[in-house]
Formats: sequence, C-alpha cells, structure tokens
Amino acid sequence: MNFASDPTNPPTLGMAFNPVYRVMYAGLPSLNEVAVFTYDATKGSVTFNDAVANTGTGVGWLAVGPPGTGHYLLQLGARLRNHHGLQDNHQRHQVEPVAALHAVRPRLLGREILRSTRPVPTSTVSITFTPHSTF
Amino acid sequence: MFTISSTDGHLTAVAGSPFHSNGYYPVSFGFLYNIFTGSESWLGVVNKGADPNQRDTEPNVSAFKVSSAGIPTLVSQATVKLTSGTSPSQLMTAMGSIAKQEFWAFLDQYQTAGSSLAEVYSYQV
Repeated sequence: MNFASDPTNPPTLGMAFNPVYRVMYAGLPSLNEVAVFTYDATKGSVTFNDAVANTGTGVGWLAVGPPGTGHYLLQLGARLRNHHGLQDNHQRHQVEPVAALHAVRPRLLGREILRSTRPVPTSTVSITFTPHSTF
Repeated sequence: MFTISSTDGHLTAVAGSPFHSNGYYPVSFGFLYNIFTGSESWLGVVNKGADPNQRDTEPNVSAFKVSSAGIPTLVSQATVKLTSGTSPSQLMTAMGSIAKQEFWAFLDQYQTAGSSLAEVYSYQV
C-alpha cells in the first residue's frame, strides 16, 4: 500500500474479518483510515481494495459485529507515541462505529469517546462486542 | 492454555500451562482446528519482541501443533523470524478447501521509522 501522503508502506495495526464476505480490515493509524482488503481463500493472496477515512486518531484494533447486526466495525483509536505500541497521551480512547453494510466501502456512523474517571492504561490494545452487539 | 467447560464455560488450566511462546511479548495468536491428522490443530503465536520500557528482541511467528488435549508442541522449523523493530501485532487465520490444504495466516506488521516493512502479510500454513 502506498499513498501520496505516505509513500512508504503505512503502519498497519489491528485486523478483523468481515463475518460474511472474504474481506478483512486493517487499521492505518498514521493515516487515520481503515484499509479494506479482499482475500482469495484458494490462493491466500490479499488485495488492497480501498482505504476509508474517518475522524479517528491513531486508528487501530478493530472488531466486527456478528452477522445480522449491520456488520458494525469498531475501531479503537489512540495517539501513538512510539513504535512500541499504543500510547494514549490524552488518557482517553476513541471508539468509532463504522457501518460495513457494503463490504468494501464502510461508512462512518459516528464516534463515541470512552472516558474513565481514572487514568486509562496506556497499553489498551483490544476491543470486542458483547453477544448483544454493544461495546 | 485452558480447557473450556461445555456446561458453564469455566476455564481450567491445562496441565503444564503456561507454555513458552518461543519468543518475547506474545501479543496475538491464530488457530486452525484439526488440520493435521490425529486430530491435531495448528496454533500460530506472534511474539512481538517489543514492549514499552522493555528491551527489544527479534520478533517472530512461532507455530505449534496442538493435541486434542490442548497441549502445544513447538514446530521449531516452522518459526518465521521477523525483522527487529517491526512490531507485528495481530495474526488471523482463514481456510479454503480443507481437502486441498488451503490454510492461511494473515499478519499485520507495524513499522520501524523509515522502513517499508509495515504491511499485511499472508502465509500459507
């Protein structure tokens, strides 16, 4: 993947499969985008299809809701401080619900800011759905 | 490694657990159920080799055969050594035809500043 704004391969952080299609998503934290790939299950080849911009910061760590729930794609955003991993300088995390109703063209629905009354650990690296598709 | 109770879902550690991941700072794994003869499964572990305030080491993806009892055995010749500082972060698996042994592992890799190694990688298992 090469972009005008990032001529080297941009960092990828976190992946998730679409529950229905042979599509997978990857966070592009340096570009604030979600990359969309298709893959061939007979060859194992991966093809970059699109990158969808959003308002998140440090987009990474994705989770996709179960089939029949609108295929919601959640991304955990946080500011990146160094190459070791996620570091949240603002002690908050952004959760961006993205609709993936069209497998290769997700659409941003909105953003929720997860807040805590206590400092958030600086190495939060995962997110998932409950069986009821909440988070 | 745990067994999962089929009645109430509680976890019980497998004898011998925890098992060494064949690297430092394991962060993700992928699993392919019963792809080997003898009801053995495949487990791939991403050893990131980097963590805040820790000494960086060479990352790798290590492969294990997992018995039906949940005991992993390292397949040492299957270890994929990765470039230091590239911070691999997640492994996911997929399969096509089982008869044709179409088993795949996808790995995303963060970067070292200035490198072009950040990408989503695909491996055949």
